[in-house]
Formats: sequence, C-alpha cells, structure tokens
Amino acid sequence: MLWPFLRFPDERTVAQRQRSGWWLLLERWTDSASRELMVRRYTDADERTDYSARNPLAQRSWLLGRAVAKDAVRQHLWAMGAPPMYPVEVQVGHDDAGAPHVSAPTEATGLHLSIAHSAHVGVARLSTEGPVGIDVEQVKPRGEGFSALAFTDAERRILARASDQQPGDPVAANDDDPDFDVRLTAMWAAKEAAAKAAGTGLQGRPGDWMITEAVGDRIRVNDTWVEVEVLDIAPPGGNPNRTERIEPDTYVVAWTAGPQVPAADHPHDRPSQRPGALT
Amino acid sequence: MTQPHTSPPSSRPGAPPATTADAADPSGEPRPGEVVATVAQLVGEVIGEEYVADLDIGPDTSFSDDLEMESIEFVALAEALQLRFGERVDFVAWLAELELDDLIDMTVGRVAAFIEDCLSR
Repeated sequence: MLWPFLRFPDERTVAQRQRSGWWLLLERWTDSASRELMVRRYTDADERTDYSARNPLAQRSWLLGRAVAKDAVRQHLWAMGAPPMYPVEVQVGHDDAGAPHVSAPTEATGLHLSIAHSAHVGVARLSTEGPVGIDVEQVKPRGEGFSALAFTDAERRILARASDQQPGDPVAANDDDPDFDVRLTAMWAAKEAAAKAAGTGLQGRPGDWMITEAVGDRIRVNDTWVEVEVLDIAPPGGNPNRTERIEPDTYVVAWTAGPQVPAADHPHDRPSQRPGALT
Repeated sequence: MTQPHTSPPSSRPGAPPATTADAADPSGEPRPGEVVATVAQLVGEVIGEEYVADLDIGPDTSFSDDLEMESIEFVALAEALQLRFGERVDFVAWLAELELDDLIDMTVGRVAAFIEDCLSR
C-alpha cells in the first residue's frame, strides 16, 4: 500500500476506498522516520508549521485525518476525470465549528467531507449531495457507568434489546453478551456521525442526539439513519517473525446514510465482518 | 505540551484550593495533589499508557488540547473516576449542568477540584 504510493505519489493513495463508500487509512508509520516521510509527502510548508506546533499526540491524529481526507478527495476527483495530483495540492480547512472543507486544483466546490480518527485508524467520507458525517471508535470494555453517563434509559433499552438475550435486568450489561461493548460503541459512534453531519459535532452533548431505533447495522439518531460496520484490525508494529498470534483491535465505523432507511437488498452486499452485529 | 510542574502542588496555577492541613486529614480527605495524581493515572488507563508516556500530566493539562481526548474517552474517564471514588462523586449530575465551553476547556485540575469538593462534604 505504501510502496506504490511512494513511487507514484501523484497517482496512488495510501488510504483505501471501502465498498461501503468511505475511505480507510491505517497508521502503519509508527517509527519517526516513516512518519516524517508521510509528513513530507502529505503536507505543504504552512501545514508543516501547523503540524510542528502540536504535541506528539495531536500530530498523529492530525496527520491521520489530513492524509485520509486528501486521499479521499484525490480519488474522488480522479474518478471525475482529474489529472494526477499530489496530496499537497489538496487543501483541507475547518470552519469555526470544526467542520472540514476542501479545495483542490480541479473543481471541488460542493464537495462535503467528514473525517474521523481513533487510535491507529483514520476514516473519511465524501458526498456531492449534502453534508455527511463519519466516526470511528475503537471498541474497549465499557461498563454500566459508561452506559449510564452516555445514554438515556430509553437508549439503554435499545442497547439491551438489540441483543435480545438478557433475561434479567433489561438495561444491564451481561457477561454472557460479548457484543455488548460493540453495540455500545456503535451507538456512541452513530451519535457522533449524526452530529458531525449537522456541522456541529457532539460538543459534549450526547443527549441532544437521541437514538430512537436500531435495525440490523443501522441506527437512527433523531431523524438521521446511520450505518455502522465493525472492523477487526491488527495493531501496527507486529513482528512477522514472531509466532504468537497478535489479537486484532476491534473498531466501529459509523456514517450517515440520509433520512431514509437504505434498501435492505442493497445491490452490493456490505462487507461487514460481523453481519448483524447489532441484532 | 504540558508545562513542567516544578513548584509545590499548592502553588500550581489552576490547582485546586489547598486544604488547611498538610498531613493526611483525619476525616479521610485526600492530600493536595493526590487526586490530581489519581486522575492522571486513570487518564493513562483510559487513553493508553503508550500515548501518555511522553506527557507530564498536571493540573493544567487540558483533556482536549494536550491529551487529544475524544469525547468517548472523556466519558470513559468519568466512569473510571466514578468507580474509584464512589457515589459521593456524582459525575452524571456535574457533567449535565456544565456548559459547552466548560467541557472544551476542561483540565485535570478542574476535575480534581470537583472530586475534592465532593469528598470534603
């Protein structure tokens, strides 16, 4: 993935378009030399000044977000007939509310962009039709306290009902319910995606974005349907010579699908690695 | 980057108000700086030690600007703090009454001050 890009940086991308229509970028440049290589390929002088002013944590997520956004825009413009284009030719800005916008050598007006990152994963979604939102979150063990802080009682009933395998307390986490944390993370990511599509982001107010329904891999937040997909991704830095198996990390990606439920018999099946993870 | 903290805990800018007693309080109140250290430790557990290894977390450390914490991680931190300090610290009520600017500018010191306030009641 990286090697073809380094040879033809104006024709190749590091991020990859997923069948569901969003872009995925895995942070595989964990040592400082390869990270510096990415910075040089993806940023111009102004962006490098911006980058250098940030602390190491912020630099990593900034680079992931910029790179996946620039790759998404380039691939989109190439598909529209644009000539080869280097990442530095695509500019990503933010409005006052933090919503990103793009400019490029060829016509990119009316292009709506959303970016998200979590740990070693960056994602982006583009639309020519209207505002979009995407979020990615790494699945980690959360408990009752998290659920109580993040969701209303009504939402917690949806969270519990989605599994339909808890005979006891309908809103309690269940040790026999291994997908509880996946669903909980998906519900949070769905709120983030819907809030970003509105141009504001969550702003620490999960209560403004009410989950009213969860059907299959789709979650309704207020009036917006959000699709979710579960990904298992190996952490970077694994040594191929080591024989022990490295457990992959699980991530949830959520993106806005518009006001209507997408047709169930979608022409190309969504490549969810865990079909029906929410049901 | 977080500024280095070389001064005594009680004189750090943004530090919670110093308690009257320097030694451990017989009522079980934490020593100055103790809650900050606990919050810093739980931050490391929530966002991962690999991410905080190079950072010196103190009262002035901002969750958003310095630690790049996502909102989901802030909720996870609140859960961890709730588990650690118990029912006397009601994060749900506290977070509910905060304004947006309060959350964006939230620092380790402010969370620690809230916890100390709850524990001293």
